[in-house]
Amino acid sequence: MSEIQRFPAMGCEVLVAGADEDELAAVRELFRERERRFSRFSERSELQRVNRRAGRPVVVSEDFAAMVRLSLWAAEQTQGLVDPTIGAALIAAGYDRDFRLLAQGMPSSPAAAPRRSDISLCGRLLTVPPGTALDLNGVVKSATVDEALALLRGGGWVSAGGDMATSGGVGVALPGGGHVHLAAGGIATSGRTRRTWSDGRHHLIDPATGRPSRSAWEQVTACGATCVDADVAAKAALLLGESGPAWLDERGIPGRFVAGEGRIAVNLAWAAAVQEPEAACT
Amino acid sequence: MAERSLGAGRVAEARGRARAGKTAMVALAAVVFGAGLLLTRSTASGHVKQGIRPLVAPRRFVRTVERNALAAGQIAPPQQAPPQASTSQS
Repeated sequence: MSEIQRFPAMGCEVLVAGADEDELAAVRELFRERERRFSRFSERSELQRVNRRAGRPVVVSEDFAAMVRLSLWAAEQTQGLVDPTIGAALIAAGYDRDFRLLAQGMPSSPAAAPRRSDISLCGRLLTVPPGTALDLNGVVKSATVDEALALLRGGGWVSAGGDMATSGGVGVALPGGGHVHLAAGGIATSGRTRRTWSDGRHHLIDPATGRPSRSAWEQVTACGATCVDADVAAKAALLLGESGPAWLDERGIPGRFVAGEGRIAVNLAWAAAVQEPEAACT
Repeated sequence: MAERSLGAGRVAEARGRARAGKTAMVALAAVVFGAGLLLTRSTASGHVKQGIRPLVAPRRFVRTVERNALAAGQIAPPQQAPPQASTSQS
């Protein structure tokens, strides 16, 4: 496998394998542009401009409209678990600035209920309901990983903060120990132990309550046909708690679950794929 | 009779001048419109002056994602150690 190249973007480290100089430059530009456009913390981002105009129609870029469609698709696939309208809930939970700058002590006002069904998108004309703040980061990073991989003409793999996609196979270390061979598609881990602050609040909002999830799982890893699939599936499975493994099995998606004290479980699809001695759960 | 013929000729001449004037005005309007259009496209800040390749999700990818439900990837038992990359929560 060719040299692994690294650069920071979207608040994490991006790793690219299999890229020549031009391809790496294109991948960097893709991540830089996406970060600039979808940042929740930059007043000049398109996302902030849209959120400031909530309640009024606004013409958005094609890229933005595509990500809104993708996030609405994710919400539909997960029965609303991965919801693009959780921006207000994230702010209410205290995640209102870059995680590195997040200070102790934050507001605890009740979160606004998600209203994704009221989002109107006609071509590039987007209307977000008043009082709603979009957060598209549930899909933007993983979609960018998939698109970056598509830029590598000779194949390879791309990883951004652990969200990965490959076209040629790669060994992947897993949370809590062990590793697996990702032959094709994407793999992503969603968790509630990393981006935490204050009294254990974190960035994974349960749309049912509008508050940080109290899932039984600390981390969930899922393997999808694309990195978007894997990321959306991992988030949904984590938010579903104990029914997460069965939910993934219904879709044939391998999932690996880390609970408190490092207890690891896998669903039937994962066990069948890697034939692990670990007990599969349903 | 001669007077009537003279009047008809003057009317025909007037109609001809009016037709020519109208034609000239239409042509002038078309030229002004075209020039204004080109001027606007070349100077207005909202118009793209050179070909660019927008950074958007490839349509094929978007269509594939929109058409399909969540789907599984392919994993297998580890084939080499140590692994080249890691997945971690984000």
